[in-house]
Amino acid sequence: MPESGDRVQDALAKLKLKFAGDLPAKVARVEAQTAAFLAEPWKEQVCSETYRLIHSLAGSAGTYGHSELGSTARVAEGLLKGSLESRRPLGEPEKKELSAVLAKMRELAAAAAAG
Amino acid sequence: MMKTLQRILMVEDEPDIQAVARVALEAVGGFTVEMCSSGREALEQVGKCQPDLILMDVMMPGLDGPSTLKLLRENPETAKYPVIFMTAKVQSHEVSRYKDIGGLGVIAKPFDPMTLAASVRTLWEQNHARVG
Repeated sequence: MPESGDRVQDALAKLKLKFAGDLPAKVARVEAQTAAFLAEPWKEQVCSETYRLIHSLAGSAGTYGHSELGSTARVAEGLLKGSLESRRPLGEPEKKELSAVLAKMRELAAAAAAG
Repeated sequence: MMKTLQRILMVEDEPDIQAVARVALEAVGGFTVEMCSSGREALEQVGKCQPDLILMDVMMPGLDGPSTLKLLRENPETAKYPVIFMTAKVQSHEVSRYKDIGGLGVIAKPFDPMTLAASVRTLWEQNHARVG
């Protein structure tokens, strides 16, 4: 049986508040995973895990209403996807782009958590 | 008479998506939802859960959505369960691909929690109208 509109909105609001508060930690985890990926010789499993982590964050950010963070994460996702499909490490220009994208994600996450 | 959609097994590895989807499907849609975090868990739970529909994330660690569907279809006891995929990849050729492997359709991520239940119901009704 569907619930009343107010109760639904309350439930969603609570989830959104928690998600926003958790965003800086989620982005920090992405940054740590990406740093680990870039620090070592290219490995498919690490690349795949990094790609999936970013993909998950991009999807959940969008679902929770953080569309700019979601679309920014999609750029990072695209870079990792390219590396995964080509089975090659990121080149220097791509690493620079990824670094800038992650910095933007960090900034957006901090703003979201601050409300 | 069209079978009523009441019970959904959702297969999604991301806890944040699980949480908002549960509100969207239960509180907004009035469905009963069982949640699994992996394709493997879905294969283990589906017989006990007996859902009307499986709502399945595509990208999951281990068994992804399409691989899970393949295994469901290979088992005569689980082949009957209809599956709708959820994914960020929703270009038309990708939707066709998911339908070709046996999915009823695809729901795009990110989704609007207030309209997810309606989207699921629409795909369900379209498929059951075709089957008649």
